[in-house]
This record gives sequence, structure tokens and C-alpha cells, in this order.
Amino acid sequence: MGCHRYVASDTKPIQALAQMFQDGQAPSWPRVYDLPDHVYFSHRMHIRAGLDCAKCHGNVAAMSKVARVSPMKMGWCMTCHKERGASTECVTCHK
Amino acid sequence: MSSDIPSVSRRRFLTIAAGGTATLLGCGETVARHVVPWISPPPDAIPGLSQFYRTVCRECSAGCGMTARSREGHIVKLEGNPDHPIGRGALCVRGQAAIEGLYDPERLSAPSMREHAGEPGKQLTWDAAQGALTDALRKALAAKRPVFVLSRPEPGAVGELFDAWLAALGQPAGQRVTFDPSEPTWIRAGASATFGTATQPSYDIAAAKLVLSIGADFLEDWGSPVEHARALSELRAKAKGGDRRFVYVGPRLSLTAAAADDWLSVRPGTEIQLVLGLARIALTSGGAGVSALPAATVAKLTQALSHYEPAAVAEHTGLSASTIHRLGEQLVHARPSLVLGPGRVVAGRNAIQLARSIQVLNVLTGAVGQTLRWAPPPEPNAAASARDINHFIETARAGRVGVLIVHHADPLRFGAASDAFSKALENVDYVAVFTNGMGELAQRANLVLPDHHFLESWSTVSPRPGVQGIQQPTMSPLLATRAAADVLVEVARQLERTDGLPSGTFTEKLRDAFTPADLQRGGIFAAHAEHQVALGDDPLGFALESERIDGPQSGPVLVLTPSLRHPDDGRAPGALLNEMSDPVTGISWSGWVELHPATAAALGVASEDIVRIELAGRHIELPVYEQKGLRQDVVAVGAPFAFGLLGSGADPALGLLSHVAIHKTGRSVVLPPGHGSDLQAGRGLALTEAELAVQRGDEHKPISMYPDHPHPTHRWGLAVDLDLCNGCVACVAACQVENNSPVVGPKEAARGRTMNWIRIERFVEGSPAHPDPRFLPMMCQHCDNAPCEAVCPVYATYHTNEGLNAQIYNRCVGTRYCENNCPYQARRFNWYDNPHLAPTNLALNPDVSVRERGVTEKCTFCVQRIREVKEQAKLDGRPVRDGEVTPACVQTCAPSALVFGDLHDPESRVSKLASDERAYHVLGHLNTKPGVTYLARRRRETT
Repeated sequence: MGCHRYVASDTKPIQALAQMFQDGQAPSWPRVYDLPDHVYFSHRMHIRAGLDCAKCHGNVAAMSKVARVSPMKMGWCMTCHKERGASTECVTCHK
Repeated sequence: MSSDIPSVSRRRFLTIAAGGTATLLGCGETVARHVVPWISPPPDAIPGLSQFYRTVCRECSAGCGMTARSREGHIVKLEGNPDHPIGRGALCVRGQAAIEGLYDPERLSAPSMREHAGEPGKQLTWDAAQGALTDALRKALAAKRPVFVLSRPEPGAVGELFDAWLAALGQPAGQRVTFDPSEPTWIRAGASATFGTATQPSYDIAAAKLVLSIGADFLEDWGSPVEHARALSELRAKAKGGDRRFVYVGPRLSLTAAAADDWLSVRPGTEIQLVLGLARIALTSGGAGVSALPAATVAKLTQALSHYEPAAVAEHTGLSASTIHRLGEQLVHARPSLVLGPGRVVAGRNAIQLARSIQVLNVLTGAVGQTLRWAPPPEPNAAASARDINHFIETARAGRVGVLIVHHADPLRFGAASDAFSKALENVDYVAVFTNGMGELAQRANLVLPDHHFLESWSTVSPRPGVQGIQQPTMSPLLATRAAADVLVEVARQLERTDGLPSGTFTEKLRDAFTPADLQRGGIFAAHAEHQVALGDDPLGFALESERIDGPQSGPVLVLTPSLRHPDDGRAPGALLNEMSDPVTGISWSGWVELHPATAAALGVASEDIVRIELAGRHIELPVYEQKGLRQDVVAVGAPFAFGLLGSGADPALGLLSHVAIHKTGRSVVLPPGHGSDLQAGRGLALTEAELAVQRGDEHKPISMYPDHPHPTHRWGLAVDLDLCNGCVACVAACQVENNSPVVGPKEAARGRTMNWIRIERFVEGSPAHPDPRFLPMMCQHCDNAPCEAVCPVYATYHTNEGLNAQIYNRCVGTRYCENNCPYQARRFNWYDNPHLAPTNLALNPDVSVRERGVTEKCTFCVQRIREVKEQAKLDGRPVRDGEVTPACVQTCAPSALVFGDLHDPESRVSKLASDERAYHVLGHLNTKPGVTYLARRRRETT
């Protein structure tokens, strides 16, 4: 429990979460963004390349419930890789 | 086509047709999965990045340094520790496979107890179990019944704790017994008689000009196989085919013998005559150590050796007098030389005398102090000799053992050899066993206490003075186990007997005992004083044991051979280890008996026929393997498969056993094909320098119809030095663990469907009298002109711009065209889904896909490691350094036969090796332009 000890700590969902933390129970989060097991993805390399978080994740700050804004399909990845001159080798992402 | 059918893209059609099969959905269309976060994350663990912890391998008593790679809080790979003097970064096949013990689904997780032997155990809580042990000890102490600890070799903190714990309980010294059934105790016993110091020497193989091994299979067991493999490789690298040699004397062409320049065999049991004959030559022809000896000793030795002139020795041993003379002269003039031994295969009832003779020979040639050094006594925590075990058995049989605490030792695994121990156990009041699995002894124990795995617990390991390896936990305990040392300390506290014991737990004590630098290095390593040893007055003053070997003299002599694939302590190997091909025979998943082809023909049997081996009323049945490198008067069986033949009270460490009778049974089995053919059939695959020169003369200039691949940045390549490779198969296990390759089991293995990406091909050239084994590590050659790429109909395999032949699994549709077209047979096909059942799934490398049924796979040069290093270099803003990328096989290669790097960089090690005059490509005439270069084996000289 970091931020939510102070942020919105009076709301029901956060209180429920705090209770789970107290009880040593882990919440099971549905994944918003998920990649198949055969895909390798490194956040740090994309941050190093100067990509803004919102480029893939949308403006999360303005979302009351986080939703997926990008298709996360291979063609979508490749379009960006080609535009930016990043590697288009299969083994860059396929593991 | 009717116009009212909506237009559907090919991909969309497949998606619909698959009816929701998740594997056919494109990226991003997977069914929503859930993530479960850590409540309190493991310290320092960053998801997606590896942590490395240094510890010590406990699979045998060598004590190699180990580096464990942790991902998301659990260990996924074990490697050597380059900063540790033992192993120096390499592990053997057993060390590589140690991870399967950690995630063994049958590992014990809860204590159990039984009132009487033979009953099934009842599970109980840890508090109850500790209470039960406390009660048993309290009763024993009240009744003044002695408490004993029987453990595997524990040369370090845990051993010291056992001593302190026994002392705290008021027990006299000498009640801790160490059990190591593979320990060559005769060397220590011999040294005690020769020099008056009962310690193990250390050997400097790399410094010797001539190494002579008397049956010491030092690449397979005999103390420290990884360390010795490194040293032998250094000797080879220095020799460059020149003035350094290694000669092996023994009944069988073992893995170690195959690495020698020359293999000599003498009549079983007469090795001692050969050694004494060589000692006589050293004494009379000016051995470097003779002048320093007192005249009286020289006189005694001259008298003792007077009968061993070459002609007499030749008559006993079957070697020619000229060979003996030449070998003796070479030993005298190679300064320094080193004679190793005796090893298991020549250790019969004269083992101690043989050890003494070898020690005297090493003094006469001047090896002692040069290539052979003794540490100052006393040796900490030395393994008990057979005598000490026998002493314990006598004590127990007489009813003088109240409580026996057993710690990772199981003397009941050795067939009838265990009889005495088994009987003695009946007279012990209470037996408590600390173990990871339910072995024979645990099944008879009153209390079974599941210990942590060695990768989860603390200790120190000092295999020799000056080396203190730190065994630290590499992950949180997987199961509800407890560290044995902590349990003993807690029990002592309950008994209020805590003098000299840690005030907290043992774990806390060790956790606070080392600096972060010590832990990162993996131990504390320092030079140590050398102990000067001198011969006693009459070092060979013993009456020679008869060379006659027991048993019916008409039959062949049974020799028990060591194996890297089997734990020393008689435990059955795990599945991964079991599926590794035996380096010498290629057999996996089964025992076997090696017969010389002539012996087999005389019996009317061939490979895979089952024979019955009889000895003194006991018998075993095993399939035959026809071994050209075996004396005709000998049959060889891997030691673990021959325990059924051991007589009551036999020493399981001895290898030269007895004459036996062999009978045909008429039955046969199918053994996994392993190496395939012994013959190269003129294909020139595994070459020597001389053969390469001949082959070069025949070459024509290859022409290509296509331009070369550009490779703008790197061209990854591998060099394999056949002069250094000893065929030990550590690389095979390393690859299997790193790349999530499944174990397929005995049935599929027998059909040749093992999934390993690297294999060791073995060929036997030479004449029947002088077989010449060759080892050829074979993996995907990453060809520039790859035959597999051209035939893939779905573009699943292609050539990357860095020279890798890549395989994209989710594109592969399993036509197997590529497999069919690969001249190196480097590609493997998944015939089945191979489930990784919990908890073995925790060992999976998250950086490598788990392949499914119907997909072809193969060596990737560990592309995940290349990716990792490239990313780090990019983040650091620097180019990739030479040697920074090490595929799993290269990393664990003890003889450094494998070198990986960038062929574009002219200064890289691999580039230099690829342009060496010994360099060639296997099947190079096919113009496949492989990225793997082989270096022909250098000249080996016969004696």
C-alpha cells in the first residue's frame, strides 16, 4: 500500500483493497493489456526510445476506469516500428 | 462465389474457423487473463529482470561454486561461479540438473513419524515433530544412551554445527560419522601409511608435462570433475599437440581415457605391478625426487623394487617390456610429471597398496611438491573411511546407539552391501532422518524431517583448505520445510542444552556472518600453507596382496564404472539426468552392461540383448552394449546398476570386483539410439588435424546462386574446439534447462524423439586394438545458405540480419520439411504437448516460449541472451563486448571447448578461432556456410 494510504482512502473500493492487504490477500486484477506468451516486450527499451506512455496506454490520467485504447496486434506494433526505424526482425519480439 | 457471403479476410476466417482456440488468435486477442500481484514483493526483484545469487553446488562433494539465476523470486537456471576456484564458472551435467531436485513434485513437505519400522508414516506438524525428537533425545540422555549424527560430507558450517550440537548434548567426540560412498578412501589411507598424513592431496594437472592416470576417471568422478576438466583443458591448450601428454591406464576406454593421448590396459589387478615397475625405473634412471631421499630409504626401496624390472612386469601385466620402459623414461624426463590414482575401476582389494605405490612413484619422480600438494592436517570434516563406517556399524549392532540423526545419507541403497548397516539399525532406539525425499532409510526411520533444498538454505563448504564457499539461500523455501540445523538448535534449546550453540537460529547466525562482498563473490578464498610430506623409512614395506581376483576364474572380471549422470550416494537420477545420454555409450533411461564385441559374439548376444550376470548366488539382468574400448577379459557395469551384485559388507566405492558368470537370456530391449552409428562412413565429420589436411586437398570451390546475407551489425558464430571437448554432456543439460526443452521419457527417447537442441555425437575410429573415440557437439549450424529456410512454406524459419537461423514458433505449422532438409539433424519436432506440471513449471525460463505439439524447434544460439546483452549495451550506450554473450552451452563448458561471439569483429576470440588453421565446417562441401566452426583435434601420440 503506497499512494492509496492517502489518495481516495475514504472510498469503498480502496477500503476493500486496504482490507485485502491487511489480510494478506492478493487481488486478482483482470489484465487490460496482455500479450501472448510468445511475445517479448521490454518497457525500458520503449521508454529509452522516448515514447510517451500515452502512445500505447492512452491518457490514463483522464480515465475513471482504465480501458484498452490500442489493439496490441502485431501489425499495429510493426507500423510503429517501421515509422520509427526500429527493428523489424521477428526475433526482436518473438521469443 | 455468391455475393451475399460477406468478405472475410484470411486471418479473420481462421479465427472464426478455430472456434475460439486461443492459440490461433492474433496478438492482442487473447482471452482476458488475470494478474495476481505480490503482497510483499521479494527484495530487489524487478519483474522481467534476473537476479543472481552465488551459492555452492551440493550434488557431489566437489563443492563447485554456483550462480543461481532468479526470476520473479524463483530459480530458473543454475550456472557456475567464475569467481570460485572450484569449477571457475562451469558446472557438470549433474550441477546443471540440480534444479529439478528443487522443483521435484515428490519432494517431502511435511514431517512424518512411525512407531515401528515397516508401518506407513503419519504426518504431523513441525511443532509436534520437534517435540517428538526432543522427547526421544531427552529419554536417551536420561538413560545415558549415545547420540550419533550420520551425514553426507559437510565440510563447513553445518558439519561444525553438528559437532557443537553433539558436544552441547554432552556427547564425546567421534559420534559424527560422514558417509560418502564414492569417496576414494584408499588414497587417504595410503597417504597415512606413506607419509603419516591422512589427508587428500590437491593436484595441479595443468602444470604437469606428463599426466599418468592409473584408472582415475577424473572427468567423471574422483573428487572434482569440473575442476579437473578445466585443468586438463589448460594442459591441452599449452601442449598445442607438443610436449605435454596424458596417458590413461585402465580396463575400459572411459570418458577420461578418451580424452587421453594414449589408452593402455593391463590385466585387471596387475596395475600395482606396473606402478612398481615404473617406480623402479624412476629410482634407477635418476628420477628428480630420488636425490633428496635418505640413503637408507633408497636402499629399502631398491630392495623392495628389485623384482620389478620391465620384463617381469610385462609378464604380469600383458604390456610389452619396451612400452613399460618407454613410459618409465618419459615419466622421469617430463619434469614435472603427475601420476593420478587409483580410481574406482582399478580399486580392488589391493587399493590401499596401489595408492601407496603411486604415492611413492610421485615422490621418486619429484611430482610431490610440484604438481601434488598436501594441505596441513588436520583436514576439516574429512569423510569417514570405510573403517569409520564399520566402526559405527559395530557400535550400533552392539546396541550402543540411542538416537541416530541422519542428514542426507542413505547407506541402505547399496543392496546386500547394506546388510550390516540394516541389521545394526534394528538395535538403534530411535532414528530421525533429515532428507528431501523418501529413501530406503527414511522408510525405516521413526521420524522423517523434510530439510530445505540446498538452494534454500545456509551453510559453508570447504572442500579443501583456503576455499570457503558460502552456500546461501537463493529463494524462499518452496515448501513447508525447515533447515535441519535450525531444527537441531531449537531441539537443543528445548532440552536446555545450548552451550556453544547459536543464541538465535543457525540461519540467523550465518546470515550475519558474511559481508555483502563475500556473498557476492560466493565465498572467502585465500592461499593456504603447504604441508611438506616425507616418505617413511620403509614406504613399500608391505607384502603384495595376491593379484588373483575373486570369483569363478573362467568368467570375465566385473568392473564397476563411475558416471557423471548418477548421484554418488545411490539416489536414482531425476528425469532430466536420466534422459541425458551417457557420454561413452549414448544410452539413457536404462542400465547396461558393456561387453567387448568378441565377448558378445562368443556368448551369442549383441547390443540390446539382455544378459544375466551372476556372482555368488546374486544376479542382475541388463541389456548388452558392445563396447570396442574394453578389454576382452572384462565386463563393465555402471556402479549404480550393479549394487544388486554387491555382497554383504562390500565397499560400494571399490570398482574391481570379481570374476562373474554371464548367461544369455534370449530377451532383448530397445535402447535409446543415443550416438547413432559408431562410424563416420567417410563423411569426415569429426576430424583430426592430419585428416583435415587430406580433406583440404579434395575440396572444390563452392559456387552460390544467391548473394550472401549482408549482416550489417553482428554475425554471431560459435567455435567448437574438438581438441578440448571431452564429451561430458554438461552443455546438453544446460541447453535443456535454459530453453525449456521437455523431457520426453524412456519410450519416446527410444524412438529418437528427445528434444535436446545440442547433442554429443560420438564416433569410434581406429583399429579394433586401438579404438579412437571422437566427440562432436552438434547443434543448429546457423547456416548462411540454410537448407531448412528455403523449404519452409510459411516462412517460420528465416535468416536474421545478425546471422541467426531463427524459428518463429507460432508461425510453424509442423510440415517438418525443414527437419527433413537439414543435413545436421539439428531440428526437433514436438510430437506431443509436454506438460510442465506444478511445481516444475516454476523452473521454466520466462524468456523462452514453451513450445506446443506440432511445432518444430531448434538451437537459437540462446537468442534471449543475445537480446538481453544487446539491450543492456544499448542502455549503457556502448557496443557489445566480446565474450559478453554466452549461450548456456558455452557458459557451462568446463574445458572451454565452445567459444561464442561476433564473427564480424576481427579481434573477437571466435573470429580468431574461425580463421585458425585447424578450422573447418562440418559437411562444408554442401556449401551451407555454417556459423559454427569446428577445430580439428590435434595430434595424439601413442606411448
